[in-house]
Amino acid sequence: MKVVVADDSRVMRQIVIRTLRQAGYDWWEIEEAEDGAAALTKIRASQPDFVLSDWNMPEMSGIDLLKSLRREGNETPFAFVTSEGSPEMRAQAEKEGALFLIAKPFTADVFRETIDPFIS
Amino acid sequence: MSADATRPTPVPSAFEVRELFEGLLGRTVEWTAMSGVVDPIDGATVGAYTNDFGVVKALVLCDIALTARAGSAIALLPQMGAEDTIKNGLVTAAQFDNLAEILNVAGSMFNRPNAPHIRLDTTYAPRETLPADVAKWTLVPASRIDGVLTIQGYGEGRISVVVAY
Repeated sequence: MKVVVADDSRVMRQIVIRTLRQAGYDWWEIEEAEDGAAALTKIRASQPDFVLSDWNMPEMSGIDLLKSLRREGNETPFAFVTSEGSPEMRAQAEKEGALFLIAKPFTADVFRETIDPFIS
Repeated sequence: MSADATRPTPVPSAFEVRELFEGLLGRTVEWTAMSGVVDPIDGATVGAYTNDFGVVKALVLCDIALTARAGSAIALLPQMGAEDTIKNGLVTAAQFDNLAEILNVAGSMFNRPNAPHIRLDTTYAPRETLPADVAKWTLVPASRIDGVLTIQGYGEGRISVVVAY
């Protein structure tokens, strides 16, 4: 399973990937992107099975990345891992077709409980 | 600020602070209460959190030891580098950037249902001049929690969390 993890913080990408491994997804093949625009390029090229994205990023935000994908007919499953998880952001994420939004800080248990239902 | 903000911004508990660091660093972190405070004059990384109107509502202060040790531990940088920083008092760019990322996520400790929405606005490096509206809150005696965080494999550092009132 190919997954793109997009976050402008290198250390946060490392933490997301480490937590995915701790949650049992150590078989995922993960590609990193440092902002929304880079993620869009990588998603178009490698056609991943799943995208996990931060919300606030330079060049292109996570929500704009999701909108861009859907606008070009790309229905890759998409979810957010963000430092803010306000009800407004959750509503907007859902409206644009995101599967879920995990707010930082998170644990491996939260990742597992949230992601597992979509894997099966 | 949302219209339903009916409660003041909470001062996080020691448990919440410890959990935040433990979760992000991926290693055991212990909390010990302390009677002193982190004073920016001694050198501290300061995260200033503002509400939706740009008013400073909370601060998180980490001394140089915590900046070096947590900023190294989160990226698995060598512990010896952190010790060098503490010895010479000069935080590296990577340690500072990494701690700033922790302080960004730390904003979640202040955001509760019915409390005003606040977020990290600026992170000040040790010995950087603090603006007056930040500096005035650093040493207030109330509405705060102060402690020592001990990071497994890296050692301890001091933290103060202050909520403006």
